[in-house]
Amino acid sequence: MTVGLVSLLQTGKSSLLSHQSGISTASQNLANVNTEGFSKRDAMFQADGRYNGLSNVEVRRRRAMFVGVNILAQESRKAGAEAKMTALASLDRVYADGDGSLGDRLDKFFDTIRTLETSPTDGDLRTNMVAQAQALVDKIKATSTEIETQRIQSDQTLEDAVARVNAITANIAALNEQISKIKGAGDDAYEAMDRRDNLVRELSTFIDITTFEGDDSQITVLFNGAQPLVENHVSARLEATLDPNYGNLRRIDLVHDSGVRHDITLEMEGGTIGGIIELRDDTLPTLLDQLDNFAFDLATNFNAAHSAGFGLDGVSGRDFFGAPTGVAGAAATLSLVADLDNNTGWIAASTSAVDAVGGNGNLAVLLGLEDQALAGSNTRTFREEIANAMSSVGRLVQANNVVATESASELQQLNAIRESATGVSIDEEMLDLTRYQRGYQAGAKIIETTEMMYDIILSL
Amino acid sequence: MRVTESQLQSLALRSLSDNRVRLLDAQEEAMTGRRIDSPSDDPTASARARLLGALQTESEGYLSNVEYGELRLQQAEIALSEGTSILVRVKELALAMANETMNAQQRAGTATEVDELRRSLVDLAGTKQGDEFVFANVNSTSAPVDSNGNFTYDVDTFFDVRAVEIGPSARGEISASGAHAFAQRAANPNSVDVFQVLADLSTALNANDPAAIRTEIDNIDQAHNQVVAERSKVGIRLNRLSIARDSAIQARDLYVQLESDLVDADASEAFTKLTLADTALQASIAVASRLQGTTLLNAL
Repeated sequence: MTVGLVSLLQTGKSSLLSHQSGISTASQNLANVNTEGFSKRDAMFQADGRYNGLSNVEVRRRRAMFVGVNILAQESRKAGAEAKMTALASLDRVYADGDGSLGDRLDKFFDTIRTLETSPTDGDLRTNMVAQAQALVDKIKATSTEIETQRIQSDQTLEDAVARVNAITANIAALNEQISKIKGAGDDAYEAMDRRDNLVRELSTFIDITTFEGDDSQITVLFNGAQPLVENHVSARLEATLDPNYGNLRRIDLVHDSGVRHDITLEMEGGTIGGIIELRDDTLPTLLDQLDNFAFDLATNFNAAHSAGFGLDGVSGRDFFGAPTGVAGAAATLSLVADLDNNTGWIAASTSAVDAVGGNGNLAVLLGLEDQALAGSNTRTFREEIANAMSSVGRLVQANNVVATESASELQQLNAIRESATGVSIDEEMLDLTRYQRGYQAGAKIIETTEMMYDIILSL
Repeated sequence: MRVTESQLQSLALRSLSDNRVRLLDAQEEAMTGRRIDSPSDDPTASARARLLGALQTESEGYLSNVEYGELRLQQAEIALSEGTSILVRVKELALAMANETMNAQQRAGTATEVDELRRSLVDLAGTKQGDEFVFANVNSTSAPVDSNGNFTYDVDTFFDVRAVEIGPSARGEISASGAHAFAQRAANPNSVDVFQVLADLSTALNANDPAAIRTEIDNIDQAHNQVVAERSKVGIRLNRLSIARDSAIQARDLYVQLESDLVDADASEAFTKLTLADTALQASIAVASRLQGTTLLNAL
């Protein structure tokens, strides 16, 4: 086989160009060593039969598809747990034991009854009992308000989250379009793909999504495994609307491009939005319900025993707490009977009109309520109910923290695996850079040698 | 496995932030001396600590009831003891005046003394603690006996004394019964109205009637017995309160101890944790600072 000098020059040129392209790829990788979500590009060299040289270098983007799916799931879990964290931490403080805590107030209230037993006619002791009862009522109401406030505040954050979701889905759809255009023009769309991957990842922190990549590198994003959020160039929108069916909190609709809307509030599971909805519709209402039941049981049982007794004036049948109208809202509307603080004589200390002044029999009955299982559907005493509520709040916070740390460390691992496959290593790029530089020098040497050969021939 | 720059970076970041969190927890525990600050620190233990706290408050309540009861019973005890002395003196006088050798003038003089003693006894029956009458039964705001020595309430109906909670489902009596000590009650045929006995004695003395005086001597004995009997009951009640006080104190101390075991941090453990957390953080800082230095860049 004979090889022409021109062909040798071509070989040298292709080597120079290819290694230049390799250097460019390594430089791009190095430049993006700290870019979030950047996937390492590999320069693929291929021998070219025509000039025995190198063909155009193909640049490929590394992928870690399988890991990506798990990352999305963990991102959802982590964001869901983190969305609940603030509200739960604040309840953790509200339910914490100490002076002035719910349990402390209850203890002190019953303690004033115990003290009043020694001198049932003593006005100071009676005033004290009413004051402690008021403090207990205030604390129960404050706790109820705190739970309700957390519900409303967390609901308000849905507005921002929904707006961000809409921005992301619109962006993903736009990138899908851009990618298909770039690819149509025969260029690689790796930049856009990296950006799209980042957006998908961010989207998964808001809602639970699955994705798959179809023909033409188009990503389809599905919510809840079935409902398309992004399909080719089209994205659906989420809309948050205040709805009486959700206690005047926000209903989340999925609005398709066609205008068809679909209530997906109860289908939300992971992500910030799913976390908030779970907190708002499940976790907090359960706590509130427990508190309402507690307030209701306390007020009705106490009233029943109280109204059987007799006040200092020999009158029976008076309530102590304002009679609750029902379990729902019992904590928020709990009160003492109007004007009780100015009429402490109404406290029914005695069991009969005869010993209305000085009798303490009914106080003993009221005191007995402290040790009776009247709360939690007659399974626990009042103080046990509070302890029970404390431990359930504690467990909620703990469980949520566990999910947050667990998903964070899971993510850490998945990221490590993903990074290991697609990340940039400075060492590697430096070696590549050196390698390509050497290759470039060699290519130049080929041209230099060929030139020398020309000189020899021309000087013949 | 390939190791990339951002892997090293995030590893360093995570170990630093984890160790910071651990150090913060350890510092908080060492500074506050508490292992449990909020329910989430240990849900089960904090619920148990809450119940123990409730039991503490309850024990304190028992203690304050016991202390109040003791004060009141001690007042009653003093009054009854003085009452006993008065009746002893009355009996001495009655015995002396029953003697046939005494004349009308002497007996009339003694009658004045007996009247005086009777007034003292009426005063004793009206002993108060604070605003309340110790011997009153239910209505402790009005005197049990008026100035003429007549009971202001039906002694056959009201003879129980006030009881208060002094222990878990234990109730103790914290006052003395005027009805038992001073009154003639249908339920007890031998009982006498102490004030009436003294009034009768005074009448007999004024009437200069030795036979009538002798009849009263038996009644005076009975009156004396009644007062002594109530006094011994007061003693028994005081005794019961004192037992209740001991068990309330023991219970309270036990609950304090148990709660502290659950809630409070062990000082040596807390400081060991603090030192460990501090060392771990220093280690990760040292490692993180070395991470940045080693790449091929430095060699080429």
